[in-house]
Amino acid sequence: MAREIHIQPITRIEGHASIQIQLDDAGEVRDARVNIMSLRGFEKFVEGKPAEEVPRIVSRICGICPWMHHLASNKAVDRCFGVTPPPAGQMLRELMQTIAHAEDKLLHFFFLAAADFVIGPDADYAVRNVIGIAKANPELAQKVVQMRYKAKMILEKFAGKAIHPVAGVVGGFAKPMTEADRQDILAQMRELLDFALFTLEFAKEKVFPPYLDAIQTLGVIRTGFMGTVDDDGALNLYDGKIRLMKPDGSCTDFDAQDYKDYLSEHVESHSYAKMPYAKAWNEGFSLDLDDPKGIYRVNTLARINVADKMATPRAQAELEEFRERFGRPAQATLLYHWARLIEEVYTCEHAIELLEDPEICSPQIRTTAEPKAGRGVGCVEAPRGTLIHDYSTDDEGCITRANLIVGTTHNIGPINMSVKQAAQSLIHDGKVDEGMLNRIEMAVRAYDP
Amino acid sequence: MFAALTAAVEGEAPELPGKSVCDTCPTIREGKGQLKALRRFLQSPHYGAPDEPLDKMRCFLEQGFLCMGPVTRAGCGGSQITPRCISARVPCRGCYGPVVHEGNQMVDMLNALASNGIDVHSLPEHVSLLRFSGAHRRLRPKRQRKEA
Ligand code: SF4
Ligand code: SF4
Repeated sequence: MAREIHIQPITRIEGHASIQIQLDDAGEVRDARVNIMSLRGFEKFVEGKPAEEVPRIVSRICGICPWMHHLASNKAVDRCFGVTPPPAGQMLRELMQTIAHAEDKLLHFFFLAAADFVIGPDADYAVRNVIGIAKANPELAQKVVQMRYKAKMILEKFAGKAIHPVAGVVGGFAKPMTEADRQDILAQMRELLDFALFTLEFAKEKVFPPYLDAIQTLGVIRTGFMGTVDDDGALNLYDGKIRLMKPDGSCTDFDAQDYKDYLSEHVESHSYAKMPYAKAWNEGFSLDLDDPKGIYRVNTLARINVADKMATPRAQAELEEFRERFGRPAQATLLYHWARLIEEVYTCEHAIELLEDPEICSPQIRTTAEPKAGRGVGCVEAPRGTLIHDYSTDDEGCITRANLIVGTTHNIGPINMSVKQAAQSLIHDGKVDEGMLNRIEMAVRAYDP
Repeated sequence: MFAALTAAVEGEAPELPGKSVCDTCPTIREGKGQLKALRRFLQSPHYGAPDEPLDKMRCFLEQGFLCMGPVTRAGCGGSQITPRCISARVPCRGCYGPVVHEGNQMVDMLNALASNGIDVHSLPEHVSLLRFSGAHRRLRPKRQRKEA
């Protein structure tokens, strides 16, 4: 008998989503889709506001990655007003973003994802969570909490606010760094780097191995990828060119200002969210599992795939090992977790690099801006993918139009595909159990929506 | 927030301070200046060397930058702690809500500016001054319609 299965809400993800799976008369999966709720209306209510105020309004879009919105917005306003922040202003922005990334990846890996691996997808729902991990390995759990706290406190202590940040300002950064701040944060980041390296080793030895088969099959789809790289082709989170990679590995690089020439948005009736696709490939939009069209993915795995290399040594060594095992581009969805931990190493190393340069303490951190009419696209790599803020201003420097594409949005199409793939391979003859449903959820969690 | 939580845990009704952000702000105030108009926050305020403490920096409003400190309830940094945005050398935008119970931060701020002789039209817009309050008394259950 035909029926529908609902998983609602999906747990241990940062947004809100539900899964619907339709079975046909034979009990086989006919269709599966994910509904992601994310209508926030910020594009409308920043209209008319002085542009320089917007970075501190949009930081309230998301409590998990407010720094990303805050900085993408600042970069967009810089462009509208035609100002370039001085080097130290850029470095401070980038440092804050990098530390926010480091904190977020620990949160995702340990609090949201690890339970599936450490405790196992078939374990009882009641223990398959962070509390279960804490019981199974109390010392590690304590360490994780300490490390996250450390990263958050660096942001809070230096920038006033870790959540809903305000310290990025048009033309640069609001607060200069003193030598004492620099030494203090440097020491803490070195500790975080040690923990990042430990985490990746721990995951490679103890967490991933029993799941290597699952990694090769669960939610695996074939798509293109998108991420940001610097002039040398190395992964960059704060600035650079956007690189779009086809499923066959061929790449096109473009300036974020021109994103509309390369990406377009498809609207589907079952979700409020827009689904972006690669218009530049001239093949249209299709989520067909065997022959997807225009579909690319973003977020950790995508960034690792599009980058030629990592800019820091430890992360580069990890990337080489990863490529050796899984190739480039790696398509397996669960590898998002592995890629996330490589990025974690990079963020800690890169924060240390930024802090080791005494230029970061320069008092020249802000360029004076004049309000004017203009258009600006601000783009950063958020933990969840390429984040685009696109504003236009009038002569008074007030916003006339805003368009935002948030990281998760790019991945909505691919998430739908992965869920359908997972459901089709797991559910047969109408037989469904909790372990299967959780494996399907795992396909969603990998994307960290 | 922290004080309220501690109070809740200790089983007392929270006593929120009736103070404004200015009351807990360390910046220097020299009294009324010759200020006639406000500037937008498009440049750094004056504060001297990077390690110059906040109590050596002149108040944002007195430097001509809009700061919502006067009409905003104190406490965002926790007790005895500098208001958060001020500590990043950024003016307050009022997120802790009005000092006066059910006050309207936009109206109160415009009043305060006008009574100090500052031209409120020097602000590019003022509606967004009300982004953290103003819903008071507006969010209430729909009145039930009387049966005809
Ligand atoms: S107006 Fe702002 S800067 Fe001035 S004292 Fe009040 S809170 Fe501090
Ligand atoms: S805007 Fe909020 S956090 Fe910032 S100083 Fe004002 S009350 Fe404090």
